[in-house]
Amino acid sequence: MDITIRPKPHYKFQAYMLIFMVLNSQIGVGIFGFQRYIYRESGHDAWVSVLVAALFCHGSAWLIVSALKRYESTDLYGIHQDIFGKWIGGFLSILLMIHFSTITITIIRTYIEAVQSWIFPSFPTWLMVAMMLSLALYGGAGGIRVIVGMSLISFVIIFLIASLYYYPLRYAQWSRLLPLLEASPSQIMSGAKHMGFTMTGFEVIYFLYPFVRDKPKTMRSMQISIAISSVLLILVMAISIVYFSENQLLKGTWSSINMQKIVKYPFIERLEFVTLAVWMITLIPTIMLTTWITSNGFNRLFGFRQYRMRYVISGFIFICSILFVNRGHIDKLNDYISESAVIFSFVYPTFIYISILMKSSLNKLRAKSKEDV
Amino acid sequence: MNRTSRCAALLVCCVSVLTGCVRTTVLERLSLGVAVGYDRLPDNKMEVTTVTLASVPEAKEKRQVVSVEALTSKGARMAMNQQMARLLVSGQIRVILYNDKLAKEGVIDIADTLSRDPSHGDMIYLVVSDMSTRDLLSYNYSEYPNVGLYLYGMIDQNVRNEWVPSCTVHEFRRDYYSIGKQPVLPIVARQNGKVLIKSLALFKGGKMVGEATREQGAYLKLLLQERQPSQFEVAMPLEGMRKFIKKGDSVHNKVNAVISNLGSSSSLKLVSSSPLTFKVKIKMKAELQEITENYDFTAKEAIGNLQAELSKNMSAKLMEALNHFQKLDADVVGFGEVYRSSIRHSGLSPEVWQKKFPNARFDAQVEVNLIRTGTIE
Repeated sequence: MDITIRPKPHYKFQAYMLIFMVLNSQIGVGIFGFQRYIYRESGHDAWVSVLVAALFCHGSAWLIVSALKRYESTDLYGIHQDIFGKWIGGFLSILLMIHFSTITITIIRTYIEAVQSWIFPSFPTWLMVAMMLSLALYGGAGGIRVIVGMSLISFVIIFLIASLYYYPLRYAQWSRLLPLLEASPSQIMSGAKHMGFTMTGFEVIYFLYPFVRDKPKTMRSMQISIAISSVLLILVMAISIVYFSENQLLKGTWSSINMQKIVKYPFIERLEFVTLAVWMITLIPTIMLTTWITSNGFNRLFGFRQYRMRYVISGFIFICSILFVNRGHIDKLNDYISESAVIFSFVYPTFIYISILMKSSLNKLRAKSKEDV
Repeated sequence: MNRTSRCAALLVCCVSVLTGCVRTTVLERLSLGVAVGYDRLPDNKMEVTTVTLASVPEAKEKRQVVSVEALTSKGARMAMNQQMARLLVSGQIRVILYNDKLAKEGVIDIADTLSRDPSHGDMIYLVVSDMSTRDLLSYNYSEYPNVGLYLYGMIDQNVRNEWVPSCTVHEFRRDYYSIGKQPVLPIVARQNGKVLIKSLALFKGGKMVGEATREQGAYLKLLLQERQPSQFEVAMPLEGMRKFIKKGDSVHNKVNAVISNLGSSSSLKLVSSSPLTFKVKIKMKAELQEITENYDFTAKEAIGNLQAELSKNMSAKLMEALNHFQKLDADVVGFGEVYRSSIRHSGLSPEVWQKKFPNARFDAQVEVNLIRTGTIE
């Protein structure tokens, strides 16, 4: 496997498109009901927890992009190969591919659970999984630039739907945010930790970097994207705190959808049915991207043809997704993924960055000792 | 056949085949419930009454009312379907009524059931009825084609413009699950073959503990910072006004004035935590609409005097309302929330607050700013 990738120019895209892609992979199904997990830890200061988590994201993104910048044009698979060699590096790469597949399963299954609870209780799971995967397969066939384009569309949809959170503000009780910073730092930190699954997703830059046309601008786009999604999540959290009362927020499984229950137009009385359905469009690019990353991994590691692997991976995800039957299973999956997301998006980038630094200083030492000899 | 047209053909096939997979709900095959009433029966049973839109177009009545006995509200729906020619659905329910006996036992289970089922909106109004809801809903009203829709319109109108605080499922559950505020719902009644909103039901821990009058409701609504009641009627003793009332006119010992509310703001502040004292202040811009005596507006200080008298008497009324809520131990204004949000690390829980609230003292003040006296003086 070559460490450096040189994609053909027609596969590359401008750095500013990363804003849409990274935001889209951050905002997924986590936003449906993340509030109560944070609120349980840090109470009415939950929005501070989200803010702290956002700062960690910014830091982690800085580490990731700085690590990538030390190479000419490579992805995480290449970095693994370079630092840890073929076997250990390959093992880590496979671990990552499994992680991304699990994320895909979590996204699909959590979304379907929400649709079944809200709109179609008797809708067969396998059919819904098949529909989402076939859409993702069909779109993904166009390659990375189609995924970029889809991300732009879902970026627009995310903001249209987010603008609906103006309505709950009419029922806001602002005193619920007071007194400020009542939670202890440790409570705020443990709330921030629970943002894991909701906020991660920016690590996709590890795999997109070779395809960025103007690489020096990568850092700026990444930070802008994370800032936008952080502001969005902080707003949703703060609005939930002022809209719901203490124990009511802890009871709601999908607080974000619940808040849309009050949006009412003369021609549509229950807008959340529409927004929940439309939300699928924002999930498709994420699924496309994660399957693309995994199939790309097979291509890079074993030299398999990428388009064939996409079918294999989709089949694997399909089978795994329908194995989860009830809410208990899905909650367990979400618990697992929020733990592993923290490791893969915050701890792991730090580890990689330090490894790269160590390796380059070792190389320098070696070169120096050679000169000395 | 090229690639694009093959894809298009596949898509058309998928769309036409897959759309049949979901259970359909054809409007013509449904009965839409618009109002549901719950009555308490012995043995933990409930009697549930549903008013639906006429499901048979040829029927003379524009409504159909069904009543069943059941243990749960979903069980009631199953039992009701035994009487229906079309499937009864709950997506159009606008009003839920509780009999006051049931309200005194607690109604949060039913409110939670509403929220658990996504087919109900969160904007359904919850109402307490001072008589059996079955009787209220199945009575043959000569003036309303559908009492369910009429009730909804009546409550909605009063919530938007008048003295009734908003009473949606969301707000009921929000207040029930909050630490420092209790819910409040309107009470409907039937008098002379007509329905009306009689008073307000005050809750404590999800159980109805007492009532509040229309006037108390209006002051409560000012404090809740919702849409504000549009008008206030104030009765003032003659003493302070005698100077400006023209002589020779018949003089009663009370002067009644009506002011319209052009905009008000209220503030609740915790003054001290021991003894627990709150400062309640309402500022209202008002326009005089009616006064029962021949008041001399041309005299110097006349308007200032009227303003001061209005403020004084309204403050007394506000104080009366607050004391009434306190006597019933129903913190419907949300002083607990003020306490929680003003004191750091208060660790307030509903139980702690219930012990503190009866000892709270209030300093209530209404400040009327009489902007104009209508088009004449």
